[in-house]
This record gives sequence, structure tokens and C-alpha cells, in this order.
Amino acid sequence: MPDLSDVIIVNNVTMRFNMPKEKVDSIKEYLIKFLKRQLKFEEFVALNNVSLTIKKGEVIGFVGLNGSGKSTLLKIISGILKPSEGTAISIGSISPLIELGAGFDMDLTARENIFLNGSVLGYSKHTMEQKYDEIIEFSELQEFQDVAIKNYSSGMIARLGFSIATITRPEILIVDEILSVGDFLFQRKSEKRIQEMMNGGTTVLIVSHSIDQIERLCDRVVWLDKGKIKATGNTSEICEMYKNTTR
Amino acid sequence: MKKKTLIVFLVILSIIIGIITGVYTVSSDNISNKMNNNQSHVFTSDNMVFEGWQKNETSYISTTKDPSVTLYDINSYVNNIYFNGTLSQYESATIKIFYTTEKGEAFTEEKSFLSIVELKGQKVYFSVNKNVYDIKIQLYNEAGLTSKINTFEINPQYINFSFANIFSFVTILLMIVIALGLFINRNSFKGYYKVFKKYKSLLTNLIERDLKVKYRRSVLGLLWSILNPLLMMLVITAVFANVFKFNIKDFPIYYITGAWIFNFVSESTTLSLTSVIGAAPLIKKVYIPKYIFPLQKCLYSVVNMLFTLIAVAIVFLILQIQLHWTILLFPIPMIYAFVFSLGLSFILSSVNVFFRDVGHLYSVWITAWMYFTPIIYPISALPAAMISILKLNPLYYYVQYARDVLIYGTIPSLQQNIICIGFSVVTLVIGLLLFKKTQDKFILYI
Repeated sequence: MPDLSDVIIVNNVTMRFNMPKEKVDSIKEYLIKFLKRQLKFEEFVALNNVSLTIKKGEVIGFVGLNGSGKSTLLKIISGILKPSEGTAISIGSISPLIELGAGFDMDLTARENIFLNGSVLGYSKHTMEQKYDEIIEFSELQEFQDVAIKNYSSGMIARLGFSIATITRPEILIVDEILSVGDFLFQRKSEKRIQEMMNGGTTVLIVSHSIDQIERLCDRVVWLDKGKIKATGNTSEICEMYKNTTR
Repeated sequence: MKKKTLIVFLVILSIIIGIITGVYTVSSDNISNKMNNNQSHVFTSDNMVFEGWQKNETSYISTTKDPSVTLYDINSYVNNIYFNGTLSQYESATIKIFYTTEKGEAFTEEKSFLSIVELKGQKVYFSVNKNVYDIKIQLYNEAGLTSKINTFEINPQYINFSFANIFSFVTILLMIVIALGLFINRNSFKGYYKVFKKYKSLLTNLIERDLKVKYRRSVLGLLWSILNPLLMMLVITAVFANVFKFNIKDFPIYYITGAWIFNFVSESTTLSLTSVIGAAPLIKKVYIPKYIFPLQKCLYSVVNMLFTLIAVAIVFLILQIQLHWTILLFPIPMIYAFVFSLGLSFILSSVNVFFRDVGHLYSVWITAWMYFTPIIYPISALPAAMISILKLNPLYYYVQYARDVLIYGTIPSLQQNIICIGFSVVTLVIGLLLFKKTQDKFILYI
């Protein structure tokens, strides 16, 4: 029986990817290879028997080198990927900030995209109508709200995406390398918003290569290495250990 | 333990119901003939009386506007009359039947009615459902048409193992199995519904986006959805009604009602084919129930289909086609076609993720399918062997259904409905199962 305050329970999760040695994309090729028994896969284990529980209101940082499985783990927690083995349960609404502006249509205006992106994140039309002004104000795009976003700069698009994704207070917020969006003023503003959410009791999972940011924001740090949890614990301790790693 | 006995009981019950309905559908004529003590007769060209025909070796050519065949001394309750031979236009044609109830009585307008010629298996038949003595069948109201008239069978005593009968039997069995499956899994639907409700606004937003993007920067905008089918109809009419000279009354309306159904199926499935792959950026980044994407494309095509309906209405008005109240049944063929397309879309969109060949193959298939569905030609233009293959084509039934209610003003029979439902539901169930089984792997292949 999980503790009531546990909001994320990751239980012995293993994620394997079958990497075909060569890409088989057509039925003919597949059949020939299948008959010749040449269908060879190289197994790649992205996560190896990872278990983790996160309590409500915690702010967890994930550190690790490139390819250590941080993003895969977050994708499993947010339900985008299904683990090959094990289970990942999360209780409450999740707002994934894995990539900002997922589902933006470049031909549509900011106004239309706000409603589209809002519904991608599962917010109702009614909520979006109420929050519309707030989103525009936060993203500082008042003059451009009826311009097709293909004419936007990448910073403007990212600002819009961040504003939409953080407009409601989700119970779990997943932040993957996105606090470096926009100019430094906007970065300060977005960090402040995340801080507000943490104070409001939101559980936050942060992936970042900026150790500074992790040290500033997190209560606890999980260090992933080659698909395994190498260490987990107090922020300053783990960060210190992590900083001293060499390749 | 209790659940198991319930399932066993339900399965046995469904098998019994299935066998009863199966026997009934296969031999329905037989049963009613036996019950009413109907006598069967066979009329050949020797004991039929022809009026207004000119015999030409093996076939007859009508010389007057009301050529008829009279069958004397039946003196029984007549359920159905089966016709052996070929008519030059029998697709949902109406024929006029005169009858008498006593010997020596003359045929009058009072004792006459219109009956619809229907296809049952390989055979053409029409219903009478009356006690008659003599019967006079007026086949056409046009001169110069050729027919082969071999025999008329009254209340024939045979079991009809036609495709339609067997298919409807299998459908009823499958329906019971599906209903059972749904009943047993009823508890899991609440969860699905909750998720669906959450993403309902995504569905409408995506459809809105597709419509907006489609007509952005065009002057006439949405009007194109009505103009397009109309213009297409003009081209097809010019080519097929004038060059190939098919004997179809009001060709434009014949074409556009067929195209109404066919184009919907073709558009929705073609769009759905790439819907999952096209949504790759979304699927990789956010959790969204993946069935949303094919569903959205199908619903978007429904919107287009409704616009085409306006075009159909315009053609009705311009050509001053007689309107029947059955036009109000137009949503039924739409629903059948929608459920079918949705099922097919699930199959295509999931298979296409793993094998992109499907996409290339499907565009060829759609063209073949179009010629294999009677949209631009009458079914009577096909040889009998082709007609029996045509009956395996679900679209044939949907198109037929649409024309029955829109043009001919007839209510499709129960069997027609069962066949349509069968094709739709079976496709949907296969599609859903396949999609559900493969959807977790999509992300690894897109």
C-alpha cells in the first residue's frame, strides 16, 4: 500500500529499445529478412530496473550525462512511453513541459494556437477562454496575437509555449531543459512562476544541465547514469559528487 | 465462479439465438410458405402470356410503353415472385402489378400496385403478399428495352444460401459476441469516457484547424466544399452520360449520391492513413490518446460530407427530382459509412506506422475501389459473375442504401440494414483491437 502522500511511484522500470541494425521499413524487405532469419535487433537498455517514489510537493532534480535516461524516465512518468517492464504510477494531473509548443500549427495565429495547444494539454475550452488574457500578457505578445506564428521568432514561440503550459496549476509539473527560454528577463520571470508553483504544493520534476539551477530549486536530486540510479539524496551532496565526475 | 457460469450461459444462449436467426434468414421464404400453405408454381415462356413484346431469338424487346407478362390460374397466396432472366434496368426499378381475385375477372387499375424489384442472391424478386387468382406484371414503362424472360417462380421452395443471407447470419452471431464482450468489459468504459471527455476540445480544435488551414487564402473559402462536388459531377456527367451512354435516369443525381458516400470513405481513410505519422511531433512530446487522430480525420470528413449534402440538395432542386419522405433517412447511410471508415482508418493508420508501403498501395486501391463500386455505371451493366463479386464490397451496400432513401424513395429492407451494420461494426471492432494492440509501439517507429 503506497503512502498517501506518494504521488509518483516508479516500480522496477526497465525500458528497452529494439534498434534494428538496418532500418526495415517495407513489407517486402521485412518478409525477406524474416524468412532469411536476418531480422537482427540490437537491444539498447535506456533504463535498467529503476525504482523511485516521489512525495507530494517535492522538487526533484534529475542530473546525468547525455544518454543517461533522464528524458526517457520523465517520458515514462508522464505516460508518453510505456515501459517494457515494471510500472509507473502517477496520481494527479501532469503538465509535461518536455517540449514547449508541441502541437503548434505554424499556419495559425497565436490566438488560435493558444486554444489548440491548450486542448493538447487537456485543458477545456472554457478554461482557456478564462486564461487567454493572462497567457498573452505573460508571453508579452499583445501586439502579435493575430499574426500567424510562422512569422514569429523562435524565442517568441517558446515564450508562448511556456505561458500556455504553466497557466494552470498542475499537481505534477515536468520541466525538461526549458528554463532557458527567451531572454534573461523572461527567464527570470519563468523561474519565478515555477517557484510560485512549488510554493503552491505542486510536485516538480526538473531536468537540467545547469547545476546552478538545480541547486537553487531542488529539494532532492536523482543522479542517473547509464540507465541506472547512481545516487539519490540531498541536493548539495549529490551535486558535489556529480560535478566531480569525469568521462 | 459466478461470472464464469454467466458467461457460459450467455454463450449458449447466443448460439441458440444465432442458429434460429440463421435458419430463419436462410430459409425465410420457405418458412412463410409452409406456414401459409402456399402453393408453388413455375411459369415458363410456354404458359406465360406476353403482351407488347417482340420476340427476338432468345430475348424479348418491348414494343409498347407498357409491355406485360400475364400469369394465369395461380389461385393461391403469393408471397414472392422470383424472376429468372435479365432486365435491361432492374436496379431498384419499380414495376406495376395487376391482380385478380376470382377466375375470369378483368385486370383493373383498382387492383394494381407498385412493387420494387430486389436482388436476393443471384435472383431478382419482388413481393406481392396477396391472395391472387391471375397476375399481370408490367415490367417497364418504356418501349425498346431488351429482356431475357426465362421463368417466373411463385413461392419457390428452396433454401437460399446467398451471400446476403449467410452474411447476415454471421453478422447477427458476431453482434451477439461483440455485445457480450462489451457487457463483460463494461466497467472499463468509465475510464475511457473520462479521458475522451478531457480531450474532446482537442478533437474539435483539430477539426477547426484543418478547416481553417484548408481554406486559408482562398477567396471562396468554405464554398469550395459545395462547389467541388458540383463541378466534379458536371465533368463526370459530361463524360459518362454522353460518351458511354449508360441507361440511367437522371444521371447527375445517380452519380452524386454515389459519390457522396464513396468520396467520404475515400477522403476519411486517405487522411487517416497518415494521421498518426503526421502527429508524430505531438505523440513524442505529450500524452494524448492516439485514437484521437484517425477519429479527428474521419469527423473532419463528415463535415465535408455535410457540405456535399448541400450540393446534392442543389442538384435535386435544379433537376426537379421528385422528393420522397425517405430523404429524411439520409443520416443512416452516413452513420454506416462513418463507422466503416473509422474502423478502416484505425487499421490503416496503425499498420502504416510500421510499414509505409501501405500508403503507396492504398492510393492505387482507392482508384480500383472506385471502379469497383457502382458510382458511374448501373449495376445492370455488369455480367452476373461480376455482380456476385460486387456483393463482397461494403461500399456497394452503402451506396445502394443512400440511393434507395434519397432517389428511389424506398425503405431499405431489414437484411440490407443488417449487412450494412455487419460490415461497419466488424471493421470497427477489428480496427479498434488492432489499434489498441499496436498503439504503445507507435512512438518507437514514428
